[in-house]
Amino acid sequence: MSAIVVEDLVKSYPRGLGARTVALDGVSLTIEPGETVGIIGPNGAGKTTLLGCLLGFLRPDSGRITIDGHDVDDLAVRAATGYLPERLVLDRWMSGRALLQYHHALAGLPVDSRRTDCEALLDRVGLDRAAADRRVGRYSRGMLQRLALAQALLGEPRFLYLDEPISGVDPAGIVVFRDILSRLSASGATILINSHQLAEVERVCHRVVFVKQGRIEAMDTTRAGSAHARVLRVRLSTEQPVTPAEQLSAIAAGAAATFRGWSAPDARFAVTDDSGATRLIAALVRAGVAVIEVIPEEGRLERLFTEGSAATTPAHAPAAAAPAVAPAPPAGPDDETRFMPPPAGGGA
Amino acid sequence: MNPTLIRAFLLQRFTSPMRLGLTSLFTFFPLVGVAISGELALLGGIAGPLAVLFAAGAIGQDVSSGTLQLLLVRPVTRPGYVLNRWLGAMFAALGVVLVTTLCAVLLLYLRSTPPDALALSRLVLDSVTTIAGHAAVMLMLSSLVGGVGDVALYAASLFVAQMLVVLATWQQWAWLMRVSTEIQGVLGAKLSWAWLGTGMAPSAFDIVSWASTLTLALAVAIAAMNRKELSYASG
Repeated sequence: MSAIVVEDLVKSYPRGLGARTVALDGVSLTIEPGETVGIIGPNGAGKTTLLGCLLGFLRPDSGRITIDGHDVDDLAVRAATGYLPERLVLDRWMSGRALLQYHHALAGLPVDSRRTDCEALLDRVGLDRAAADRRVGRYSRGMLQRLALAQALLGEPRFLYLDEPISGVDPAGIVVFRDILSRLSASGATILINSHQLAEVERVCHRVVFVKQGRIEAMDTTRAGSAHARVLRVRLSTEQPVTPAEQLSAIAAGAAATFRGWSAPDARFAVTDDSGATRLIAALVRAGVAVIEVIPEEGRLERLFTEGSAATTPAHAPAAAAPAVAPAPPAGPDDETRFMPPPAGGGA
Repeated sequence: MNPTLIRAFLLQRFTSPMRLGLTSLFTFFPLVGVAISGELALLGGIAGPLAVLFAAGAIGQDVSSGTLQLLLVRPVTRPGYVLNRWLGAMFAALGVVLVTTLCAVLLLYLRSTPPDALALSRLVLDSVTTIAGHAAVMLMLSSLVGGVGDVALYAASLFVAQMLVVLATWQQWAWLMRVSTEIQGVLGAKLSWAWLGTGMAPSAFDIVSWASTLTLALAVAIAAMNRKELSYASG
């Protein structure tokens, strides 16, 4: 059974004088157990509304959501749900520790393990014990984020919803976040991340859903890189003589790649896919070029985001008329990242 | 009943400096009055204001601050949340009333004028029903407006009811007088226990009136909560 099934979800808000703004326009989505899915899209695309409907904060106009085969308001679903909100609105008058214990009790978790569970979570998110005794109202943004993450993780939830989870978190916190997420995902938890931190989404998610104007415009697995063309920035050692551009161009042509230019100490090449990248790097090394680093010039999601946001999709047009973000594979050397449109009906 | 919700609500209410200050104000002067006059009945007026004080913003503040979202992610139903907020407000106000009454009784003993047991029973029962009614009405108002807007709504309704009384008296409109009486009855939902120990039967009309006001207020609060959209996206 799928963990989360969203079928033809429509949600609109009153705009006054009987008019309504459509926030979600026939969204369908299926998420499997253990999957980590990122929701990306421009501001006002409907991401928060989708999350609100999944959490039961908002009532859809039509459509259906089932979580583990149950309604979103089912208490058994709620008991297995964790949520990290974007706006860190925690009870400011409590101490961090008291807040965790409060949510532990609300979640109906065993009283016997309350103290140890909460202490373990504080350690896990890296919130020191002295800070845990301070009032939440005195926390910094980073500390609030860690505490909110800790409360979301109470009881090892099977469904975890994270809204901008690393906003305001320091690099050490991001490492902690990644570690927690990979462990949870390995344990079979279904995780939904709403974030604008595209690099992080690409790194931690199995699949990404691009939402725009209340519709799912594209979906793809972030780890299926072989079909995607991209530009690589190859950094060359400055301790060795510079390889002429003509030579780099010839090496690239021999590896079925395209030399895109040179800006010391980086050379740019377009490759068609992962194997193209491998061929190019091997050819460069074979030719004696002192390669010290290869970096994708632009994240795939960044590209998707830019293309998708720029596309002029008619607002709330019928599903059949909505153009996909990238309708024309196969990709050539200059077509860097291509995302497939969602299957008919928008289902995953 | 959810003891976790009620305990947290009580803690929040009793750690608010403003509420504690107002509680002291509401209880100190009546206690001084009891100490001077020896009249326990002076405590009769504190239950309603205390219920309003402790129930104010009980739902609206959670909605406005956004803490309700995190609460409702947990296995807590919306009607359950409303009823536990009502119970929490009741317990808070009732606790203060009982402590104040105990202090008053001690003061009366110190004055060597021990209170009449029947009067004491009437006072406590009056307080319980007054608090239950006022807290329910405040919960209803709190479910309709954010923050502590319920206090403004309550005050405005009282003012309007008073103005209607003035207008009804001036124009001698009996129907308008009836309307204002009903509004005041809803805002100050209470049940008198004056019949206790007198051998008279309690007024069925009063009991039904109080119980229906209380039930209706809670029903409206639950309906409003069930319809409430809790994401800032809805704004």
